[in-house]
Amino acid sequence: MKFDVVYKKRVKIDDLNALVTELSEIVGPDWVSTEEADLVAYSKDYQLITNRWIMENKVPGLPHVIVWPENEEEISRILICANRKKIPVVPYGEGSGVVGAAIPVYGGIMLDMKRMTDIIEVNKQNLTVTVQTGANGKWLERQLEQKGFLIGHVPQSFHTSTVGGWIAHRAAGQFSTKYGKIEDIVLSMRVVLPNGEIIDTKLYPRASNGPQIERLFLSSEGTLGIVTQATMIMWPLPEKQQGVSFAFDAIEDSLKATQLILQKQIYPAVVRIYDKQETERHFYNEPQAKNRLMVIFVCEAPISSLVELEISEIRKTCLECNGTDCGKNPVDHWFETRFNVKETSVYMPKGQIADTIEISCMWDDAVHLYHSVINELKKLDGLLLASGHASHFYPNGVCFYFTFSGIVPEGKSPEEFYNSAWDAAMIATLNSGGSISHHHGIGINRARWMRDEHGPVLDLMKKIKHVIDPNNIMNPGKLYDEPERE
Amino acid sequence: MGLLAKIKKYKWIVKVFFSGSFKDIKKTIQGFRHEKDFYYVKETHVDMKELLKCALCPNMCRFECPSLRVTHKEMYAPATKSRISYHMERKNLDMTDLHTAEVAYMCTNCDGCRNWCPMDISTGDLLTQVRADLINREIYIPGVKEFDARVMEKQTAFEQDTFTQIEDLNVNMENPEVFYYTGCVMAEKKPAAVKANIKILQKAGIRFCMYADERTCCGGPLHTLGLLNSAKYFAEKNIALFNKAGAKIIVTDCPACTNSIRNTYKTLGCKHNYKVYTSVEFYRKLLEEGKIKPEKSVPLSITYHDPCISSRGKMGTIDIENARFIFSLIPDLDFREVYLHGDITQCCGRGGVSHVHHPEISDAIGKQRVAQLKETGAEYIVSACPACEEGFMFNDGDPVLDIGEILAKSLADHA
Repeated sequence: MKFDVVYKKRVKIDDLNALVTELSEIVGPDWVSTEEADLVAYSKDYQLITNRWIMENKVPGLPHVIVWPENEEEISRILICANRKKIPVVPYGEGSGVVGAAIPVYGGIMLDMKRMTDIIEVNKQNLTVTVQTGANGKWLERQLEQKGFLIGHVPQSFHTSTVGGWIAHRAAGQFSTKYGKIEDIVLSMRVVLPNGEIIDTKLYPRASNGPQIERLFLSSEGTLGIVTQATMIMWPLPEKQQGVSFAFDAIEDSLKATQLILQKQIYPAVVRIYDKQETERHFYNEPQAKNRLMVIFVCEAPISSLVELEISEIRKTCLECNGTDCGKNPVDHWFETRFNVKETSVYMPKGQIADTIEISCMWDDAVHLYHSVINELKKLDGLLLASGHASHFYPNGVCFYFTFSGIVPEGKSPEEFYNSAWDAAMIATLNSGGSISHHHGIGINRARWMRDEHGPVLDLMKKIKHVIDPNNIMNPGKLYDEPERE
Repeated sequence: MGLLAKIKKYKWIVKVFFSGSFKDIKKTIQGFRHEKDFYYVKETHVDMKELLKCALCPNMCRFECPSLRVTHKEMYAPATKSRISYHMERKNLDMTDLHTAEVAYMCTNCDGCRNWCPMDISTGDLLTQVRADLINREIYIPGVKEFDARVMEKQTAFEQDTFTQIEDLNVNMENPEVFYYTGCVMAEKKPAAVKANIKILQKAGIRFCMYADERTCCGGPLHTLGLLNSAKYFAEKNIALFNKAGAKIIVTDCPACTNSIRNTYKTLGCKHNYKVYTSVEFYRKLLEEGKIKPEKSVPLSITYHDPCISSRGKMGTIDIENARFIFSLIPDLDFREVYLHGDITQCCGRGGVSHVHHPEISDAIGKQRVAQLKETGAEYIVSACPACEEGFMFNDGDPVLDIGEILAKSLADHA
């Protein structure tokens, strides 16, 4: 192995051959691998600093073995085996998480869910789809679209993420203001617990029957068990979709307009507010947006008149808040480019260190928080770009999505520069009353801020983790850990 | 994109660049200058800059990758294949290890990835370059060397030509304007389609030749497998045959052959000035010029499988509409569009010569596509690529028709 492994916490497995033999008996020899190239393939997720490490001939972490189970029974037996041997297990979907949650920092068993993609049931009366969690988002969309339905959960990682990943990170999609986030969409789930027990939570529209256990697994990042199946809400395909956009001079006006729209109980599928920097970057062809902020709205519904009414109210409100109507061209441009992810491929080889950081806050903290994070990022030596947009909205608050990029200054390592930008954004967020993550999750990147985020509640989380996974085999090193700050 | 549009688009980068301190600007320039350090390797066929770009992407095209869909393994996701290949080229992973080298062949070259790539990168093209490096170092995964030897011995991709001795299927007119180039698969597996194509050309009054008794592989499959020397041998041989024949236009019944002759030969240093058409492109031309007219009723229900080479711009042109145009003119033809069609067509499984080195993967992909096509309820699957057609027939058993056969049915028997 010619790679330098970044996370040097890899556990020692006394008899790897015995483990491989046992796993092979469970899933068949074709579905177990210890080949070097395969281990390297599973050494990372999409935490952006790991791209730098690729170019420096480093791997973030190395599993000891990869296993591809076909069903819950096999997963159960794998977890029983891992528990007996006290070997870490890292669930893996499609590796598009951006906070390092799928990096095997302790090595162990990498458990890939990609063989479990079956659609179990499409229930047209209940408007639900039950699917195995290894299913890819775009693949699932195509299956449902043919039948006339959609889920409405479309994260930017839609083409490269699984249902399991959405649940593990409590994800949010671009159309979430109308269709809800994943916690609004998932009604029930099947979970294999670390002790091998397989549980199904009951399917109901709502119930008053005690704490909702399945909520524990949303955002648990694979630390409490493996979600293998989910029943989700689906909707008939919309009859009408319409977009409209407005340019504003000040972020205060754009936020105010959006707040008023949501508080009028109008829920556009898509709302996005781009700050001036991002407006220049994305909407360079819109003359009215020059040196201003672009805001786009997309409304859709099974009833055309409902869409027309929503668009009409949005237009009225934005104009009242000093917005300029820019029509639908910017919306079309957004649709065309919304999955274009190429900046890291182009600029990281040129030495740029970059990442995106999403947070949430209540409306009354929003303006202050936005300026605070941008200002703190800009203070960093070497930082060239700090920008943001708001991408998810609630009657009570908003999610900001910041981007930073810069060049590593003299005397610092890429990791030190990267962590300093994260620290700046996290401190500014916490000081402004925000929450440290809106939908990307905690993983490795944010674990050191969990104490500040939750206070004593973190201890309760750890106790729950200990009850469910006393040997800490499930994705250790994520979420609860509180490493020393840089 | 014009210069002014580019300036407009990238103005923000210039602003960001100059917003930094003198030190930051200097370091940024250094970053640009040292970019090559991250991808330079000696003596490679691979465009390493593009390979690295692909390797750094979060696999935004993975859902469209047929190899990944049937193998379920992360190392066969498009960007991961590029990452493994990058590490092979940088000597971090041992490319003489056949399990590692195999990654470069876990691709059907369908270009589904490129269709969704904002950087217009074809992972398949990059992996084809990696294969050439493997062959250059005499690293062969099972099946590749044997295929090379067989094609060099037999001069075709299959065991033998079945129809070259049949006079009806080897038409050679004097002073030909068109060279009708039959692909190996068509020659071996689809003589009825060759007959139909001959009928269409004759109905159109085209003077054409075939030289079926001298025909050889186009070299495309060898090029795809990284066997560049063998591919070049066939490129030279075919160009010599075209020169001998004297026709200025080449029409092939296989889009892979079209791509080889039109594009790949040039990359092998074998230049020519022939105008190369697929049969579908040429038939549209004949229809628009009024040289053929579909008059006879063809009361069949069909669905159409778009060959990936045609529908995703691999040949330099995107050809989705021509087949639909042809079908629209055929009386009583019940054309049923499959859900995934056009540029989001799905791989037939035969791309990348996969059936030679990974037949189980090739067949699994083919079966998935047949199931999609059959969901239309059409009586016949029709395509315009003999490799797709052969793959579907192999995996399903039902006959699959070439577009030439459908068009020929609609042409009157009288001259």
